[in-house]
Amino acid sequence: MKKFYLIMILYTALSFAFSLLYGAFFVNIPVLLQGTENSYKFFSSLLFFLKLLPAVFLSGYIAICAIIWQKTKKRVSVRFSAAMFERFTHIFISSLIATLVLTLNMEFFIPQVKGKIHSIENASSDVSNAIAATKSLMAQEKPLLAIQFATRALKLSPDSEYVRSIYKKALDFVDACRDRNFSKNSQKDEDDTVVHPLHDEDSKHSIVELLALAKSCAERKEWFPAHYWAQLAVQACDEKNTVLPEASHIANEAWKMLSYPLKFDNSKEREYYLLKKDGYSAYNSGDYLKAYFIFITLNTKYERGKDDPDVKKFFELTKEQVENDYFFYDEVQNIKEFSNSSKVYFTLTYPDKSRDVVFIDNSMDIKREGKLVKYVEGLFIARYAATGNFMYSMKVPCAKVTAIPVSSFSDDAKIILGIDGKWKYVPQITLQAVERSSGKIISKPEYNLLEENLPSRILEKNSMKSDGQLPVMHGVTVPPSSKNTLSMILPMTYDDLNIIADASAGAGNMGLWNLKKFLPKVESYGFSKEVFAESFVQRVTYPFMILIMFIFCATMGWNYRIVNPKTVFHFNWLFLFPVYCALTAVIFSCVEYMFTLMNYCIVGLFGNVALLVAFVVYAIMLFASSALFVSRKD
Amino acid sequence: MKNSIRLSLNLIISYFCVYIVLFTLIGAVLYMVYSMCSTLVAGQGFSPFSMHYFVKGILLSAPVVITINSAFMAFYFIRHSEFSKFQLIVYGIFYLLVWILMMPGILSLNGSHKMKDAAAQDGNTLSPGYFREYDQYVFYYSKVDSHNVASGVCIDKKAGRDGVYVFKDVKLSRERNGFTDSLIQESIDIPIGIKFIVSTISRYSSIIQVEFSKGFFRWICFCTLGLALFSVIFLRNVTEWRLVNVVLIFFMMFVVIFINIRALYPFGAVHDVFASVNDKISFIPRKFNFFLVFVNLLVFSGLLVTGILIDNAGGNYVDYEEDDAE
Repeated sequence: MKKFYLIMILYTALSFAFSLLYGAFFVNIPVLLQGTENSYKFFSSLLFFLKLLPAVFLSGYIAICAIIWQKTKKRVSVRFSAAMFERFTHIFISSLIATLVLTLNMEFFIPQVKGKIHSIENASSDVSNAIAATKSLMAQEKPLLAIQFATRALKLSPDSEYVRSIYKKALDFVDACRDRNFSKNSQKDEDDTVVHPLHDEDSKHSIVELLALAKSCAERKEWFPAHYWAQLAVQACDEKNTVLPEASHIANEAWKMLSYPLKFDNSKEREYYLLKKDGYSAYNSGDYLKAYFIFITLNTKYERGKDDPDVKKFFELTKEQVENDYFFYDEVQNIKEFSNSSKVYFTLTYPDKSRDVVFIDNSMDIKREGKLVKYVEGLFIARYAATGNFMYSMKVPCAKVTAIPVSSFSDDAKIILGIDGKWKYVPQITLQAVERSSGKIISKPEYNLLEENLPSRILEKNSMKSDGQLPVMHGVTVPPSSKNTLSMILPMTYDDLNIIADASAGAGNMGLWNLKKFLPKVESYGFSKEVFAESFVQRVTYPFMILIMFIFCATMGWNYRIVNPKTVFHFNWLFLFPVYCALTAVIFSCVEYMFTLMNYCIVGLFGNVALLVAFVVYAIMLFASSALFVSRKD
Repeated sequence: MKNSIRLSLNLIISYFCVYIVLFTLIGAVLYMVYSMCSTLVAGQGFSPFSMHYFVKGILLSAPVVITINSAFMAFYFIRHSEFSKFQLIVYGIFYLLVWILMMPGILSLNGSHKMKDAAAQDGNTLSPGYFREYDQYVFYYSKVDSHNVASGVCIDKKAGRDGVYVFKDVKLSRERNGFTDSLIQESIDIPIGIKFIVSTISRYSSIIQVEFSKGFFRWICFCTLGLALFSVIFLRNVTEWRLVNVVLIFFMMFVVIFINIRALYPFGAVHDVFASVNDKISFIPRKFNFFLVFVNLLVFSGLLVTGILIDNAGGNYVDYEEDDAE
């Protein structure tokens, strides 16, 4: 057997050398960054070799089998003889090893090399996109965003003079803007910062006023507002203020009274009270989303809630917090360096059957305070009504996605939002980014109410024709009639975001385990079930197919072995080797395609049990192939 | 004698049942599945069976199978070294019969079946609600009306931040590369290497039809291809290693078919060469593709002579007896 592996390794090495030669001369090089051509050629030839590997193994296998059995002493005169069974065990073991190597090749090596080639190919367009974005952001007077893209361009192509000059320009621009802002500091631009009108209004009262309000509420035994005003007073005081102990005392008293188990007439009242307290304490502790939904429930499901002034006030306060939610821009600084998925797209369906088409240009995962947070860049969402009519689209340069536990939502909230109770976490997107030091809004969503026509280059390339009315120019923003919320909750489970990132790259590029998890919900995210199911079945049954082919090749090897043990190996036979390899490669391609068609039929006909049926079919074929081998005789 | 007849019977049964009928059925099924898939649209139910396409598949693949059959029969002869010249002659006779009787029969059926083709073409509109990739563009159609006019979202993956377009009322092209839905095409399109083979096969099919329709004399000229292919069987004992013989036979078969296709297909350098030689031989009527016939007969006779020489040299097809004493 040693001879066997030796010849195989030699043969493989030769074909690798051949691939390198092929790559050096025949590979088309697209537009690339300077200095990356050689590595592109190398990886392309490597990919060629890896794709050729099954054919190399199979052809080598037949040849080696034929050679080894030349010197066989055991003649076989009947079918299914013991000698053939013995040979079969050798064959089976070596086939298994080869199958293992080839499966690893298919599932791991080839995707890695493809990814590398892809990133080299895209580097050039990434750089030009980054530069274009830098320029347009500078024109829009958004220095912080502009410098981010300039940094990215520099990282991708540090040697280019042009890129460096753009980066310097962006830096200068940032400095110039900062200087300008210092001189303009007296005028505070109202539109530029995040506002919470109700909260701000309440906070404008002087500390004495706040304390008076708290006291008067306490006297009327209205503990909720009492605590609220007292708390505001406490927050407004600094440590040295003499009013602080009194304010804290009132706050604590109010809180104690709130927690005091009161007597209620019936359980419904008690329920109401507890829920109200829950909502208020959620608001107080900053869990605005939870409070928001509690207050909605109080408003809608309870008679008392509709008239309760406390509920009304706190609902409005919570609402403005939720709708004006923001995150700090410096959290997003290094998104490209660590971006782990890009060009992600999917659809979401809401309970009223309207749909969102979501596109994310880049996203990055970060662990923050023990929780996993995702930052996305270039978020685009188009909303379609159930009829398929366009409603509006929204674009935002950067956004933050956090995982909210589903347990923070009441059942009603879950129904409104379209959240399934079985999920653990849902994503909440915060659409507004604010600079930490000045409070200025850096990035917020832009809305667009009109559709447009596709640019003619896209129409031409895809043989499409424009059929409709005159277009609005691309990029013109039409302000929406009503103010839209600045935070959204997506009706999907948080884990799916990561899996979908894989899916957008293609079914063939997904990890097998993720593919399996994703398969049941593929259609709800706008991907085709046929494609993904077929890819899944194909990849899972690939080892079987290879194994069947190896055993069949062993049969070929036996059928066409050298009969005369005394024959010497003639070296002019080697001239036919290229023909032989090409032939095997072609035949392997054809057989693989036939298996693909068969898988497709199985998937199409049997739907959910397709994998099982495929296993059965392949098992039958394996058995038949082995039987064919063992039934060989002279 | 009895053994000989038994072997001959085996041979003929193999020839017909396995190599011709089975391979034709496989070819027909493949053609049927592929054609059904090309009209499929994502999200619709799947049904790979269609009598129309199956019959069409049979009529298309039978001539091709009969043509390449000669190589496989040669392999069969290699494996069964107990066959003598008698079996060879029996095979030759049946091969001739098939080529002269069966082929024309199938080809004449093909003509009448063609009529149904146009009716079976369904215009399918694409289904909304899926992402479809075309090169660097990803399209999502939120609605598609019956005239294939769609609205939706287009994402340009190479364009960076501003590459998303929301569009309305764009008329889609019916078919791209023979597939109605690019999603289906993604998973089931023929790999590049095989595309060449498939195009060659379709070219060959059309050539056969043309030659058949040009009259009896022309058809007989075409059949010299069959003769040349038959003769590859004489290569079965050229070297001592059967595997090398197999490769040689394949190679020879491809060369012969290649030359014939190139010569008969009205474009290309090879055709021009053949045509110019034909022109120089002025006494032969234009319709008679003399040079090609000449080449085929040359191949046949050359291989026949080679075969006879090898057999007479004592060849290696004799059963090798091993000494038990060793």
